[in-house]
Amino acid sequence: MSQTYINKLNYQDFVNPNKPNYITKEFEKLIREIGDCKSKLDEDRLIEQQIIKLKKFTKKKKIKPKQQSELVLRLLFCQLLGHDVSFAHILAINSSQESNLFYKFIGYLAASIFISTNEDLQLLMINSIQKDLKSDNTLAVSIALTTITKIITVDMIPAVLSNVLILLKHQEPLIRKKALTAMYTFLKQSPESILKHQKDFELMLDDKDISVTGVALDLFLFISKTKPKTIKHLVVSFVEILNLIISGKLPIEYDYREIHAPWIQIKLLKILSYLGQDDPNTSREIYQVVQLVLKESEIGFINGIFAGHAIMHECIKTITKLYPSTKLLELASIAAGKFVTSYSNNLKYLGITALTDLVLVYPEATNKHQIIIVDCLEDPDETLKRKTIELLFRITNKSNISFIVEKMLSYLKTQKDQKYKTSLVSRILKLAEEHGTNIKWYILTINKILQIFGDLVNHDIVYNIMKLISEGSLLEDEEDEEDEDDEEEKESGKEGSQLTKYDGNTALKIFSVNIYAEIISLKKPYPNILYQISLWVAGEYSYLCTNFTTEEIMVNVVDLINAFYISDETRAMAITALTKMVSHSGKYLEQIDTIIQKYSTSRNTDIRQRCFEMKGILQLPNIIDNILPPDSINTDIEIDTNLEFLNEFVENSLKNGGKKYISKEERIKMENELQLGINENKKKSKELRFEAYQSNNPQQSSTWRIPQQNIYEREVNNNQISNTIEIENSISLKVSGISQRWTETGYSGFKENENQNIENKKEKGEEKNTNDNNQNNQNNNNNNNNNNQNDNNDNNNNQINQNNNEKILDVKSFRFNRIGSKEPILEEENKIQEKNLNNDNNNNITTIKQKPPKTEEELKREKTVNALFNGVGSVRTSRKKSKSQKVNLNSKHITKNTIEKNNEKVENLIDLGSEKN
Amino acid sequence: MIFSVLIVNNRGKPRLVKFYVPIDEEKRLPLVGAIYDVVSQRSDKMCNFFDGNHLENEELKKWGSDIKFVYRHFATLYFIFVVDGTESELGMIDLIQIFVESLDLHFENVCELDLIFHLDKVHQILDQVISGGLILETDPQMIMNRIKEQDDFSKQTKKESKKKKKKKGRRK
Repeated sequence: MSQTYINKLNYQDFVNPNKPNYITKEFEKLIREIGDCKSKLDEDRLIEQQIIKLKKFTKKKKIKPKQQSELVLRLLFCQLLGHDVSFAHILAINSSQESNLFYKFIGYLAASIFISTNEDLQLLMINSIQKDLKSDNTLAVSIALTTITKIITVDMIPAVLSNVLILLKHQEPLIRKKALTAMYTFLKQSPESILKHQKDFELMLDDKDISVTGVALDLFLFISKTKPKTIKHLVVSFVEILNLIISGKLPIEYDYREIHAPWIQIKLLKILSYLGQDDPNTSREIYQVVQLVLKESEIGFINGIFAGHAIMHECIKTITKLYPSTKLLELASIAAGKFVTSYSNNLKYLGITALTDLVLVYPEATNKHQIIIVDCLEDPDETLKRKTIELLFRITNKSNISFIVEKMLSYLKTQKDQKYKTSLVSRILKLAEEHGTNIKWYILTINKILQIFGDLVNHDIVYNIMKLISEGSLLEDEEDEEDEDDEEEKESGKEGSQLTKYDGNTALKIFSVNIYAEIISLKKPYPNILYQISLWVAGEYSYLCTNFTTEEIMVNVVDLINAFYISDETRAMAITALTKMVSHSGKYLEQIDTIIQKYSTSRNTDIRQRCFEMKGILQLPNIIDNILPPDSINTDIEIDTNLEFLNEFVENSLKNGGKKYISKEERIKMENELQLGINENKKKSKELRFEAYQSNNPQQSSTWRIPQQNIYEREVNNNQISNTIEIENSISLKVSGISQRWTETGYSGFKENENQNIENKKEKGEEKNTNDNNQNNQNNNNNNNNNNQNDNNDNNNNQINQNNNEKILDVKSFRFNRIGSKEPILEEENKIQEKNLNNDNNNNITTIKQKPPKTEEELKREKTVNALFNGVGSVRTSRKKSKSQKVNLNSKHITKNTIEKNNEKVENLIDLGSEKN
Repeated sequence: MIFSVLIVNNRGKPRLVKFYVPIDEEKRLPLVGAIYDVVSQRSDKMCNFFDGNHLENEELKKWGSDIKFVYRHFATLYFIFVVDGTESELGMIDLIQIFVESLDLHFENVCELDLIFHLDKVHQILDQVISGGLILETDPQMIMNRIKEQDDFSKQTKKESKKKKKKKGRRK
């Protein structure tokens, strides 16, 4: 019910008295329907229907201007909802050429929205724009100028530039303004060509209408940003304009809530800040005005008007950019304080951004507001917090570091954006490193950070920190930090009187080992990185620990190793730490055995390795101290580079006939000499070797290769011969070649086929008529040589690739091997088949007896048979082509004859073979 | 300068999309959507601006590094201005105010429906306030006068064209 009610409401709203008369009922209906749509899909469907309708309209040749502009409006609506209306862009351009200003406006509007990046259509527009720029009607000119700002590209600037320059002197202020905006778009696209006309803009600064000046200032703002030196001479006039505005001599229409032309003031301040940057002389000219503007803007501040705040904010920004003047900086910091202390988040935000810049020039600026700034971190507004963090990074020093880092960390806990979080963590770490005065605080802070954000920390940084903490040598070596060292001692002295005995370094170690031993004992799923540091410290300095005994630590470490929440890397480190502790203290736990047992079969090779190391070291109690001496990181290992202890060994081996050591340089020399010698030898030996290779070559090469090559050659010869000689002769010719090949079974099929194909070629012509008989033969073949059949097929394929000439034939034969076997057999054919079968049986017996090598007779048979059924192809194809029964009958007659003929042939061939046998 | 003026309703439907820099048609709505996503998640108590690093969009990077978004929320509509460092944030808030005031003057209690039905008028008014990314006029009354001028003129031309047609008809 409620839904319909809402719809009704909507409908009533749509019967809007303000509805313009150019909106048709259809368009109104569309808007209403889309308003009622409940899903994006419904909406898309409606719009697509609409677009189809619109497409029909666009195809009409004559459309009334009124209708056209209505269509363009509909297109605009569709486009706003994200649909492609590129088909109708031309409508918009047509509409822009109408004489009626209203239609023209809609046309230009649509064109500027549709075609902002389509160059072809932009060029189409240029013509009508040029025409309108010259129009007497100011409104038409203004519309054309507005369009220029939206669609112009670099190439089109010359086409309209001269017109626009004339319009800069137009009597109407509106046209002057719009011409300036057009110039601004030109300037942005090609600064060089427009800067030539800078004098024209300079004249505009003295325009009667201040709003025209305001637009001209935008151009100068752009120039001051990119090329401040070219307009330094204008500083005086900018200051004058600013003075004029503040004095309130402008007409009331330029005031905004009692503030005089705030936007123009802001622009002027911006320009002055760019011009005065790093330029003491120019800055001095500006100081006075800025101070005045700041004073004036305070009135606006009291009234709570944003525009007033905006000017004040701009003043602060300008002051920070100008060459520093302490008086102004003080004023600026007071003003910034007002922003920060205000209740509005907008003003707080701006105050903090202003302070962020101001602090760089004037560090004292934040002194009074520190607490307020830090409180901003507790504001629910994320943008404000981020800005505050930026400011905090800049105002951090030795006195407030601990406070600020604490606040930052509590802010970080609430942060959800991982990327930002990661960058912030590393920045905080850096900050702590830079400003940290107290090593103890530093270690504790780092631990705190690692506890919560350990996963986000870059490992490199942490390893550096680890080194710094555990070495502790920085305290002793660096003179600069001696004071801190003393502090350290004093503080540690407060905690326990016994610690005062030690020097700073050891005190630090004791301190850190106590902390980290505690971390291990807590057994909480902290990030691995924290545990890695803890384990390292515990392993190295467990004997210094005052709060825990070494056994306690060892038990804790053993528990940690078995914990599920640590990674393999950490586990491996824990095992090493355990080894160290055992070796340092000489105490042993029973659990260690179980650890070794459990983890020496670990999947992680590192853990396994370390387990075995521990096992090995523990079995050698005598040398434990030498392998892992306590505090080994600070003791330099002496390395005997001369290896004097080996002298004796060397002398002995020399005595026993060993070679003397030759230094590297000498060796290189010798090698070079040797190389030269070898090269010479090579030159000499070349000829000799050449002969030797010739004699060796035949012996080395495999025995079968050469015959194979010979066969191939012979084969080629055969081919040539067989091409010339008749069939029967060719059969006898091949026999010689085949007999040799049968020693290598792998090659037989291949060669055979080659021969067959050659035969195929020749017999094809003769036996075209005897095709159907081949079918029988094929069947014979199937019975006869099932093995060879498959080989043949495969080899036929090979053949296709190898002999392009025979390609077509082979494909045919291959196909008919398959088709033929499936064909039903005619009665007559059956009889013949029986006959052949008898023959085949005989042949089979012979083959069995004489395997290997196969008989020449059999091979011949194969060949002929293959050759015969290969010929089937032509008839089969002809049969398939002829669909009428008559042809089929005829072909049957032919087959009868051919079968008989073929049979005779086959029998003859068999006879031939048996004779030879 | 001002790069873009957007009006989006509470549900993310664009009601006015205007860019003062060339941008491909297919990239417009995704950008508007991305901006809407950020704006819609901000409560009214938060400040009215945020900077470009709050959303990642390739098109935005082309415009420069100091892009800022200034927006105001009126009833069902968000008015969003995309500007760069040369514009003052607070100044832009007031400019939105001026734009809305002039809309209000024209439509008398402007509502979302007015923007849908009078898309051309909204564009026309906006063109009076901002042109080519620069502030042209900041007085709502002046803006209204300009619009009236244009309306009157187009009415005149209509009448004239009708008269001409009548004259032509008589001649025939």
